[in-house]
Parts: sequence; C-alpha cells; structure tokens
Amino acid sequence: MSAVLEVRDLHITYASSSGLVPAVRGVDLEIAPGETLGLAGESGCGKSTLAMALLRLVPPSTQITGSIKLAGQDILTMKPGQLRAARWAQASVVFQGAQHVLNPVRRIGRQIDEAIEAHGSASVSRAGELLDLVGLGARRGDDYPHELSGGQKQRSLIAMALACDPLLLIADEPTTALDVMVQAQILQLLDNIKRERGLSMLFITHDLSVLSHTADRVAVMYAGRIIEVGAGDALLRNSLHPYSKALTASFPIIGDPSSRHQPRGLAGDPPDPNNLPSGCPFHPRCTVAIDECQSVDVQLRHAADDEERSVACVLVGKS
Amino acid sequence: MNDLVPSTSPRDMTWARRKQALARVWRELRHDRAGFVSLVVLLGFGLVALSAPLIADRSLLLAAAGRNNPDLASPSAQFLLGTDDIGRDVLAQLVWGSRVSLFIGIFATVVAVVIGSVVGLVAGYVKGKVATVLLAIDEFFLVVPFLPLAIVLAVILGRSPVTLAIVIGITSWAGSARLVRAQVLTLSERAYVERARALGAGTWQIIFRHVLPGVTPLIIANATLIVPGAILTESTLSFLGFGDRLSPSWGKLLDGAQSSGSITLNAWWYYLPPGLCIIAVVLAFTLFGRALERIFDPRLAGR
Repeated sequence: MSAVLEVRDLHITYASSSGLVPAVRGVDLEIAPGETLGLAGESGCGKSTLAMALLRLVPPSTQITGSIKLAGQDILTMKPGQLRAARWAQASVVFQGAQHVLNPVRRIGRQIDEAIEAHGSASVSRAGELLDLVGLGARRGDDYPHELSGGQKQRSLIAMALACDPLLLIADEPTTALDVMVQAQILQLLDNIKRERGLSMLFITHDLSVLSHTADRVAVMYAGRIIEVGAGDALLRNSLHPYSKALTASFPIIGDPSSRHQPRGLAGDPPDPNNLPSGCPFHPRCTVAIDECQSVDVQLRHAADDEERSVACVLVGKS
Repeated sequence: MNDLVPSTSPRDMTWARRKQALARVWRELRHDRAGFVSLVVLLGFGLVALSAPLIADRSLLLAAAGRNNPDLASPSAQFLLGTDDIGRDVLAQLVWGSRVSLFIGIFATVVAVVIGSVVGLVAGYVKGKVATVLLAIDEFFLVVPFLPLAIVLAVILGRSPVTLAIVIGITSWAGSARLVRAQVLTLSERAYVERARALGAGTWQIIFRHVLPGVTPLIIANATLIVPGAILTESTLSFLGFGDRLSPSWGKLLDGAQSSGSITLNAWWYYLPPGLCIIAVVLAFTLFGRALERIFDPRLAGR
C-alpha cells in the first residue's frame, strides 16, 4: 500500500517585515497506513509550521515549495474548494491548548458537529457517539468548554478530530499543559483509537519521553530540517546525531539512579532562522564539532549499521 | 440528540442559563445609578409613545383642530402645555412626537448597525482587496460632512419617517463598522477560528458561527449609543424643514416654535418641552449605552 502522507523537498518561507524567514528547509517524510511518526525538536525548529502546512493552514503570504501528497493528492496544487473538502476528511488536527481551541460560547457537541456540517453530511449528529468513544459520555455534548477539565477538553478535541473519519491524525503537542497522569490517559486514548481505526498519525512534540510510548518511527528536527530519523525505540535508546543525543540525554532514565544526578542539557540557543550558521546549522552548539562542520552541510544519509536510520552529520555514516 | 434522557431537558437548561445571564445584567444595572435612572426614563418615554392614542386623540394634530382655540395660549387646565401659533394643543403634539422621534431613532439605528456590522465583519475577517475597498467606503462616510449628505439624501429619497430613518442610518454606520472591525481583527486570530478553518469551514460559516457571537455585546452597546445621534439628526433635519410635514416630531415642533417667533413672544411652553424631551431621551440613551458597555466589557469596569 502506498503512503498516506508523502512530503518531498518541502520548503516553507514566511514573509515577515524583516524579510523572508525560512522555517522549513527541505523536508522529506512519509507515513505508511497505520504508522505513527513522531516529530521532535525544540521550540522554533519548524515542527508546528510543518504540521500546519500539511493542510495549508499557514498565512497566505507564506511561500511553500515542494510537494505534499495526502492520500495521493497534492495539497499544494489544490483549488480552495478541493482543499476545504480535503481538510478534516483526509487529515485532521488535534491541536495543543484545548483551552483556546474550543469556542467558549458554543456547546461542545455543536462544535463537534460543525466539522461534519462543513463536509455536507449534517443530517445526524455524531457528537454523542464520538464523545462516548473518547470516554467522555454523550451528555457532555451539552456542556460549554468551561464546564470541562483540561483533560476532558483535550478528549473532546480528539472526538472532534475523528468526526470525519480521517486517514491521518496530526497531533500537534496534544499533551502540553496537562499534568502527567492526564497526559498518560490521553496518550493511551490516542493509541487505542489509532489501533482500532487503523489511523496513521503524525505526533509532534518537544517531549521525547512521550514518543517512546507512541511512535513507530521518530524524526528529529533542527533549524527547519530533519537531522535524524529512525525506528522509535532504537533512535531514543541510541541516537547518533549529537543534537538528538543531547535531547535524549536531557531525560533521566527510569531505573538508572545515576542518570538523575547528572542530567545533561544543551548550551546555547536555537539558531535565528534569519541568520543561520554556515555549514551544519548545529555546529556552534555541537560538542563534537570538527573544522569541516563550519563549511559542509551534510544531507540525511543512511547510517552504516542501521538500515532504517538516516542521520545528517559528518561524523555518522562516513564511509 | 442522544439516547440518554437528561433529568432536565436541554431547553430548560438553556432557559436557566439565559435567565442567569439576564439576572447578572440586571444586578449590575441596578448598581449603576446613571444606567438605572436612564433605563427608567427610557421606559417612561416608551410607555408614553405607545399609549399616545390614550393620552390625546390623533385628530388634535390637524391644523383644523385649533380653529376654535386661542393661539399661543399659556398653559391652563384645558391645555396643560398651552397651544401653538394656530391654536393646537402642544401636549398632544409632544406626545405624538415622541412616537416619531423614538421610531426614527431606533429604526435608523437598526439600519446603521446592520450595515456597520456586515461591513465591519467582512472588512475585519476577509483581508486583502475586499477589505481595502470596504474601508475606503467607510472612510468616505466618516469624513464626508454628514448633515449636507443627509439633507441631499432626504430630498432625493422623500420624507416619510421610514425613508428618513434609512437616510439617517446610511449616514451613521461608519463609526460602528470601524469598531466592529477592530474587534473582529482580534477575534479572528483566536485558536478556535484556526481550528474551524482546519476542519474545512468556509468563510461565512466562520464569520457567523465564531466571530459574530463574539462581537454581539459590542454591537448591542454601540447601538444604544447610535440611537441618541439618530434622534438628534432627525430633530435637526425636521428643524431645518427637511422632515416629514405630516408627522409631528419634536424637531418639527421646534421648527414651528422658531418660525412663529414664540421665543420673542416668550411662549416658553411651545419651545421648552420638545427641547427638554430631546435632551432627556438623548442623555438617557447615552448613559444607558455607557452602562451596557461597562457591563458587557469588563475591561471598562472601574474607569
């Protein structure tokens, strides 16, 4: 079966008052049916921009080049009417910050049905059924957002995302601002739904510990590019790119007391997309950088010892 | 909607919630002395306007009605507010005038608010060329001298109370369009609007479902502030002789008082009552509008 989502050489450039700002600089990725791809990276690395661009939800002045094929159709060449029909029906978004994503003056059930109405099949309300599915109970449809807790709101957003039976679920940091217990419940719920319905999922987060639970494959982004991609567990246990190493090392390993006493961080700030360093964009912060890093910008290439793994670093896979 | 039967039906709950919201507005209005007094004044004028036929017969307004009465008689038991220059009862004209003035004030406001809201919503949400054109039109109506425009329109369109109201409405929507647009600009950046766009909602669906409910309180408060302007404009047009000759408005009463020389003759009962009525209604609407604005927009509280 062909990929649900296939992104080729995607560049996204924002037009700002200070000129063009490259947010995504040449990303390739694909998601197979039923697969979950975790996309990790720190704030400002372009991961949310990438996610929103998949449904062309970026400001109209933004330049997008490359191709985004969702179920075989190119999102970037669609006419507005086609695009509206494709949104939610083929890929839907579980947004972060449910607090603000729900309209405070409309009932939950009405907001869920809104998605169905937008796609012209409004004869029956499915809100009750969907709310049951996410474990909230059909009666919650009559409530206003402020009458629900944070976790309940996030559940209702998941119900909303399922309203039009999409192929792909784009989860944009769905567990930020939730406490860990609720976070675990939401992740479990997403996992169950994904399995029951055979959905593909793009799971965006800055929290790698979340991905170890959910993702089949993980891609790590830095400065608008994917710098390492591979099978989830293998990548999280043994990352090869120095940046991914720093990311994984910043989480203590449960059961290994020594790791708690020496959590490692990463010095420096993410690069300014207006003014990227020469060569590898990570070299100013890299602890193992060599002279070559200042001039050579390595593209993703297969790591020698792992077929599924690709890394963009001069030190890895050099033959 | 669902198979579970709630102990109270959704409709009951809706009503309970609406009652609660109304109770809150009422409570805050009670504590706002100026707002409360102005509400009472407005209700009083409304009551008089509605019961005009009970207070004075409509035939008293006809020119023939004053044939056997003394001209410009001072207030007496028979004529509580005296008579005008052709012997008609001033009180009767004042009572019937409240109908015309209030009707034109409110109807003109409806026209202005509808035009202003639609222009503001579209200009605020649909950016680009459409917004530029709408804003240019809006600016035209903002800067064009308003009275000459209203006079020209009144002459062209005719002088019935309805057309007068439409004329006043057409000339006074520009401010509220600006106000609505400013609010829409902030609302359309909300995350739930982006969510609606992501799920494939069209422009109109987003405007009416998500943006309009957010600006409604502002529109209501703004409307109560347009009414006094409309009433004043109606009075001005009538005073200048561009009003409806057949319906007695307060402005027309003032016009009659001025042209009959009642001021030099010291016939205060002819010009003072309509003037005071206009001031009272305009002031009451303004204070009530400000009070509503404070209640609907908590940011203004305490100012």
